[in-house]
Amino acid sequence: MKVLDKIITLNSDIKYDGIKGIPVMCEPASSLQRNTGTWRVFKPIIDTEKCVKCLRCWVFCPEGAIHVKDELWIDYEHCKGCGICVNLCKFITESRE
Amino acid sequence: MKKMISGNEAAAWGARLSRAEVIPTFPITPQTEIIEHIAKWISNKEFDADFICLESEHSVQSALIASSAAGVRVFSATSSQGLLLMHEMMFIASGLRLPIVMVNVSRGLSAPITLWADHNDILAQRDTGWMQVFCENNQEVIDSIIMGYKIAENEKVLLPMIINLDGFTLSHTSEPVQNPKQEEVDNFLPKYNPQHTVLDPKHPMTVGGAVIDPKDYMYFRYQQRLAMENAKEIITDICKEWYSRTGRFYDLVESYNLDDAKKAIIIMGSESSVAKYTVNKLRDEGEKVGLLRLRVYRPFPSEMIVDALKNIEQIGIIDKNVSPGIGGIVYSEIKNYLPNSIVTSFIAGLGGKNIGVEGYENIFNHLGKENEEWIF
Repeated sequence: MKVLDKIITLNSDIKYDGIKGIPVMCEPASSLQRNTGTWRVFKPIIDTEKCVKCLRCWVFCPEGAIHVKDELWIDYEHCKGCGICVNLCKFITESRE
Repeated sequence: MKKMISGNEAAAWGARLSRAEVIPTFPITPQTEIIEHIAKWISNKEFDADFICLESEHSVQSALIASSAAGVRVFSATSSQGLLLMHEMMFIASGLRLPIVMVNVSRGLSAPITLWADHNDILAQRDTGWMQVFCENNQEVIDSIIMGYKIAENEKVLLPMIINLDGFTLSHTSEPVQNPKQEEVDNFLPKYNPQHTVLDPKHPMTVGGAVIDPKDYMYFRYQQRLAMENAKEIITDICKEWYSRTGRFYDLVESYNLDDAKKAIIIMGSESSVAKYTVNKLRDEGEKVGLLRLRVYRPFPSEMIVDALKNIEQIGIIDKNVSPGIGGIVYSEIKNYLPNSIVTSFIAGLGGKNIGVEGYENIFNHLGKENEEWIF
């Protein structure tokens, strides 16, 4: 899709796109294909030095965006910034995007 | 052969001849007769369609959207308060670009409650993204529905359409109507072949669901705007095709005695037939008067209005509606296109108030002032 970062008028270079211009997704997809992290306003950050790996955040994350591999890390491509982990754990802090 | 049928029966015939497949319904005066005719035909096995009785007009519009998105041709009818209850869902129908055709039998809005014709109900849906057609007679009702499907389903348009007929004046008045033959309509209007939304378990799709970026939202609204512009050309083309098949001519606007006229009025709906009679009467008395009937209100045929009226000195715009706070809705839209004429606004015929020949003579006599006049 074109990026429309400009003022446009009728009869401008953005033409009628026919069926492409209709809001129907012919290929529904799971979050593997769709990046939902762009919705986030507040970004949770794990203080890895203080983290004791109790995994409470991993259990409660509704998006499954917290991963465990040696250390805990957050998949920011899918974290929507709901803040549940921030409320659970004093070692996770929030910063504005 | 012509048959004597009411506007409501003509609307039902329009749906039957167009082979609508799903008909969700909810009754409301003065529209109920339309769905009664359809219900009777379906129970007698004369008309093959799914008839769904629902609990409100909001659900009717939802069922229209869902059925159309599944890929079938749909039809329904409503009126007045019922159309207002559909309002929320109507934006979804046009946003998803579903070629629904629906009839509105216009009736004044409560309070105070009335049953008679008035255009405030359909003009409240002006910005929903539906095409709007205002019919003058019962023949036009049946023709507009059949043409409506072909226009709405055109891939350059893909927008829903409301066909408006005035309550009681058309809906309950019998007129001679030439009913097109089923083969003629089948040749003109092939089976609906959806390209964008269809229910197919092998190819699942999400219709209008996603939370969307503001930029993308603007893109889709812009495409809808362009589709409305395209519709002007498509309506003219399809009306020409209909003319070549049936000999009955329609367009976005209808000019009546405008060529040498000095005074003219602009009007919508069935009132124009009495107005035309008055134009003939005044012409016999030597006055150069004419009339412009707006047949299609959305897309708004501004170029055609300017073209038809550019040489007319005094123009009156008759609104069978009122927007408290600005006045006539049609007047406030057209006025700016006609800077070289003196344009007078007339509010007349609200809630079915009869204007009559005397009323139109009165209107022609009052042209030339830039005021708002109420014809009681």
